[in-house]
Amino acid sequence: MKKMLFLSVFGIVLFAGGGDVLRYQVLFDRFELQKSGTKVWDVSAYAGYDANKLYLYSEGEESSWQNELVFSHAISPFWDIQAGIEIDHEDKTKSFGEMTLSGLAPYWIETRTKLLFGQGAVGMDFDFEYDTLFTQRLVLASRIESRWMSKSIEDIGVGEGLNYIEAGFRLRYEIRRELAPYIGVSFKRNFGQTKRMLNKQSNAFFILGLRFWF
Amino acid sequence: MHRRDFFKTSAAFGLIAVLPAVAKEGVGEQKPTVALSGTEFDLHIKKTWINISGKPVLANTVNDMLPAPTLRWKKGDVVRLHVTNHLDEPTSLHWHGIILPYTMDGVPGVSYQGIMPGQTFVYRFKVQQTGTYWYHSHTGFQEQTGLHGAIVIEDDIAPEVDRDYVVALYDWSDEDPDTIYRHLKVQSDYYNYHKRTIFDFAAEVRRYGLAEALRRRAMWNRMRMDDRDIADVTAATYTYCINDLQNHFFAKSGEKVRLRFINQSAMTYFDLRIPGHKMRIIATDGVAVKPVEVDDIRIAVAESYDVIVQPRDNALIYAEDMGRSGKVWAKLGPNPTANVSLPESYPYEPLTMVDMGMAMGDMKMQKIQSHLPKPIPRIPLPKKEGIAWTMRAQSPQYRLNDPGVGLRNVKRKVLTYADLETPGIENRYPDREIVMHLTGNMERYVWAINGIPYYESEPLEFRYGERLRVTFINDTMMNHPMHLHGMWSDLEVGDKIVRKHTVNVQPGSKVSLRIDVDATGRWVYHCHLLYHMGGMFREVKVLL
Repeated sequence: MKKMLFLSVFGIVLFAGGGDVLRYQVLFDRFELQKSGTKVWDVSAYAGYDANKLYLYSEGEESSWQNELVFSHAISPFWDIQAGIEIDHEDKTKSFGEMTLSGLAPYWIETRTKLLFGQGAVGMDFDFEYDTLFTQRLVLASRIESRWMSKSIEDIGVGEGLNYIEAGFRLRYEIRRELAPYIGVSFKRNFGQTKRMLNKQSNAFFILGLRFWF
Repeated sequence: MHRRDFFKTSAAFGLIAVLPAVAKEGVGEQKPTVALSGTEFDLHIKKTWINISGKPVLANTVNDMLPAPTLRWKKGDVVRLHVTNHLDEPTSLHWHGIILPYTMDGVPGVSYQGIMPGQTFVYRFKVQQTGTYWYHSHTGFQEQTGLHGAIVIEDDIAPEVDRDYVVALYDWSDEDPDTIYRHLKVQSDYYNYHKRTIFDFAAEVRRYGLAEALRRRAMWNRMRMDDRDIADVTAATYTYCINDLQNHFFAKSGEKVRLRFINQSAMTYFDLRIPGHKMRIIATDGVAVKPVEVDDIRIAVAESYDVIVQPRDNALIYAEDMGRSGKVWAKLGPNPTANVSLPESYPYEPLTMVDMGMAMGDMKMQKIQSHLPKPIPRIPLPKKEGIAWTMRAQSPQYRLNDPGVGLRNVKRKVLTYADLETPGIENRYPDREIVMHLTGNMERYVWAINGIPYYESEPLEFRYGERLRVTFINDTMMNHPMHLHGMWSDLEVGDKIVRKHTVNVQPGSKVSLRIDVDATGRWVYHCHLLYHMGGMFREVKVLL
């Protein structure tokens, strides 16, 4: 067994150079302070190969967060199908099963479309991101995110129907690829039951943040 | 040792932290590259301090030289090369373009096991050819760390020249090649600082109007192909070099100088010129061609061109990478301290629809196609749709007279394959044909042949004694220099042939070549771009 492992790794790496080698990335896509004082993070981390990767996603602000652990399999040149669990926290913690289509859509739009099931409900999450280059290092990242749920889950402040739409514009300067401070604005609007539960209609913030990866 | 290699491999990708190599016994200081001649050669592969970027770093070298010593051989001699590995990892040396028994070819896992730490391997073979070649490590990414040098085999009848110089071009990086590869895998445009900005689009709107500008972008955007993706690795990490940073080649005004250009780069195509001078091409890949005079040469990775120039006073050898991210030059003339002004760099050009394999459109290029009046069997090869096959060239053409992106509008005579012809070679009619699609996925940085990367592939089977026709269709937007070990590639240019060891296949184009399968054993056929090799690579078995 050990010998097989050695042979496969040795064979690929030393013989041809490169190939399908194990690799990882930890990306703090958003790591920021909103003007209200809220600290926000959005991290994705993976380890794996060309076709199969294990992803950890974590997004949240202080007392409210979503964590996902998914297995990601490449099904076509630009698309991965991901399956795993999502754990949401807002006052209380609830978990869901998830099935996600992740990839690069035409016109270079990074997308994740997620189907959630659990807690007697079915939900959908949408996430779209697009980069506009002003210079080789000055990049505007536009982002829109939304959630819909088939029925309300009061414990985590999720209402029935459309929950919210959030849009953000972050202008980053890539000091190096791995390190880019940014400023931005973010708008969030809650709808329907969610709005009533959270007692918040909408908000807009200025943002100061750092995007970095290793 | 097995165990240690496994951990080293993991460490290379950062899973296990390792300390940087510490200075130890046997680490040398860089020496000037010299030529070695005779029939017995002692080559020591070892760690050496070098300083190219302004900061001392460790390289892997042969005899403390970067490039490795130039090996001068004579046709008919039996040479013996004693190669000792002083590294703490396996190594190898491959003699690029040399015709020899496969067990001497130096590809670990195919020709032999490689050279283990502390071991000496003796290569022994008879030199059967003449011309300019090179050698390099075929182990992992070692070639990028300094293990490459020139081979010069004396001509039977040498052209009369006053001086004869090797001009080795290469791309050096202080970054560990494993790091470069990881960067490409994690973010494939990591080294690209020529990306499209919003101002490029604004300029197109001004030029064509909004509707037309959008229409022009539409196909690229739908296909998620980047017209600014000329090269994967650029001067953002590379320093381009000539020899051991040689900046002057001595020649008296009017003397005939033979320059043996060898592109020993890992990833860089160079556009070469000697401003104000014609270069007379006399050989490519070691083999003499009918002489032709040109202003510019694009030299693909692993190719070589022998040229003759007659410098007037102080001339300049000037090379810039295809993606216009950097340059390197050296003076050629009587005075090393002469003030020679640098020429203007050629403008950056994005890729066009032609490079995507679309019909020729407004490009006026006569079609050069060879005729196969009698059909031959085409042997099907396995193919796989999937993540390693993003794009398909819709109507791939033989673009042998296309100077290539960045050189199409320079209004000077740029060498193309269509200008070359190797005289005196019998162009036998081929017996069989195989077609290989060069495929890849730039987003995921995966490279393959027919959608199948090397590590999932079966060997290609050639038959001893046959004349095999190979057609490559490039379904990617990058150039790929395809190199077959052990046998010549006779590139079809109309009804002429050009004998080469490395054939460049332009983006979205096709080429056909013929191979006399006159060697036995196990060989390899691969793209010579170092970071494509993991996938765009095949073993070749010659069946008796």
